[in-house]
Amino acid sequence: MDFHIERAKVLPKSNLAKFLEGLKNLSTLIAPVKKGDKFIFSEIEKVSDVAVNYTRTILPPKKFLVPYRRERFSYSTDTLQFNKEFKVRDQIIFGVHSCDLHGISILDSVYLKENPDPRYLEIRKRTVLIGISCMPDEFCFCLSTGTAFPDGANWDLFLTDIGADYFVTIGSPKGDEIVLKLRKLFKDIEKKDLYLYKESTSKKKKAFKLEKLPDLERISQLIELEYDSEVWKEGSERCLGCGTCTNVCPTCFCYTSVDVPTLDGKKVKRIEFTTSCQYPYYSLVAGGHYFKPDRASRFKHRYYHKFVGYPYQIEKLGCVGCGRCSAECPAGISIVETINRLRGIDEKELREATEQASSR
Amino acid sequence: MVRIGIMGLTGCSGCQCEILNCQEALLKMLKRVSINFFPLAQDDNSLEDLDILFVEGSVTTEEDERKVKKGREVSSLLVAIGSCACYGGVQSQRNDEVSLTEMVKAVYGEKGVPVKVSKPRAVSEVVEVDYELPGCPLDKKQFVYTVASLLSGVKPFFPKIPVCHECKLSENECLILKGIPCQGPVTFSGCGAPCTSAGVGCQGCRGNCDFPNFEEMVSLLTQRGLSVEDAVKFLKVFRGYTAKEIKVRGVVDEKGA
Ligand code: SF4
Ligand code: SF4
Ligand code: SF4
Ligand code: SF4
Repeated sequence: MDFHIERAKVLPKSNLAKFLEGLKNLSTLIAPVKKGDKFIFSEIEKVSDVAVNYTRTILPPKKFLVPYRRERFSYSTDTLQFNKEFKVRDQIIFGVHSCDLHGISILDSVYLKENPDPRYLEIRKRTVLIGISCMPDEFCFCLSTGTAFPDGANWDLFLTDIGADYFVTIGSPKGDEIVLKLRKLFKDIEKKDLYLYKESTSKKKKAFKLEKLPDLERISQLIELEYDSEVWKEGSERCLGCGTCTNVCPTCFCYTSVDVPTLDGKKVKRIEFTTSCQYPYYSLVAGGHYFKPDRASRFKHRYYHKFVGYPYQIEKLGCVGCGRCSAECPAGISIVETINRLRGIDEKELREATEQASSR
Repeated sequence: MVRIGIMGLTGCSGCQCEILNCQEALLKMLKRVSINFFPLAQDDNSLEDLDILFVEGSVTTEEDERKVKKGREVSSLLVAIGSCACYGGVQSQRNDEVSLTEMVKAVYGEKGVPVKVSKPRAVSEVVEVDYELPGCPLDKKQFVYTVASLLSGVKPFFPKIPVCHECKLSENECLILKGIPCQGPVTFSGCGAPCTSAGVGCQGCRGNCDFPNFEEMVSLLTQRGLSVEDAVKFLKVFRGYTAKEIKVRGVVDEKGA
């Protein structure tokens, strides 16, 4: 892990509300809140609304970095003068789980590695990311994708639950600054905190049902080798093409852009909005030709991009194991199950074996 | 001035009222267009030489047919508005199940109707249609966007993607997953998912999205307690003639199912 131990602190849970209040005074605070039976990232007005013990939000925090609908520019039809109305604000996103931090790191690679997107860069510079530890549910498989714990340096602070306190690791100078500003709320680390911190890692690992995790060893090769597998066709028969799996994914980035004129015809706005490779029009070109004419080819495309395309583009898998696509799919299609089937593992047998093992 | 007409056939006039509800946009529009034909809203009307004609309602009476054919002749562009005009409307949901005589008898009794009627048809089943703005009623924003695009000489762009798109991006809990029947996955978006955002399953009022997977939709609905027959009836309510695309897994071309 990428920090100096003297640069970690302890935040007593009893100080959490004050900490959040402190963050809110620094800039716009965004954090998970409850919505119905689920959670969503939302701008915070009352810090008592913040939900720290959540499993997953419907949409990832991506929506505050790459809005689902954004104006690129507008132009005047008379003078052809272009105008960029691009407003950025300082924001702190609190309560981001490890998988989503990794998701943002993937977006960073996509948007910033070559030809940096100036809008993304600007937003990213003015965003503080504060992570929080979590326990997996039946949809999570971040242990397989290597994203169960934060690493790298794309986040600023990370809070690990160690019982009565949070163990706070500092990932950046921006994080350091926040701790400094709110230093009264923190304690220095003691030996027992270090012990509890280390223990929390194994506690999370143990919470996974290992036999349910997908085997992602050489996954790119597997997907390429199984390009003509029947598994794609079987999955696509159930797939509704509803786009939920990509819309909720923390790493998907596809968008459509369209020019929208005003009623007086004097101004045109170029609007970009999120789209999905699961929609037929995604592959439609002039002349009415569909590059992905059937559901099976669209269904396969997402897996292909996640596990072959991303590694090729950014040397990382395009999946961080957050489980959103499986948890939200109206047809109940599971990415883990699809991978297991490609591997030739029979789900039914597997389930029976697990049930037997757990009833013993 | 661009010459516009707004015509109502057999329908509830709800879509025409929605147009009247676009108050601010209408005022802006009136700087560039003249409304030459709009019997619902004004007294002096002339159905001649139009640039764009918006047509609401299904073609159900002889008079409807005459009017819409004339409208097509005199207008450069014809835009069908609302699900009656686009698909035939709720009044056509049993078109494939009963005869016209049975329909008339069920609604008007032995006396029948004094005008000559046919089974309700979509406008495109009678004349050529350039654009379709479905919905019950049509979406005001889409109407304004369409007018703005056509006035600027560009085609309005409406990708036929499912309602789930707007529903999910509104961060609604998925109703299907909660066991509530929802047609979102097979329905043309553009409405902004107001029904699912209010906790009511999508009723499919905007018709089919591109390549809808009805087999899986029916199977999901039946897993949520509907019989296959009821699931199909539910899907047929707003889809009019496009309901012929509904297929049920394992059932080969059986009438009504
Ligand atoms: S969420 Fe499920 S049904 Fe929808 S497109 Fe993705 S795999 Fe298909
Ligand atoms: S593919 Fe699915 S599990 Fe992987 S990151 Fe995207 S939403 Fe999460
Ligand atoms: S191609 Fe599909 S899977 Fe890949 S980023 Fe785009 S929407 Fe996501
Ligand atoms: S509630 Fe309906 S429209 Fe929304 S995601 Fe679920 S199936 Fe799709």
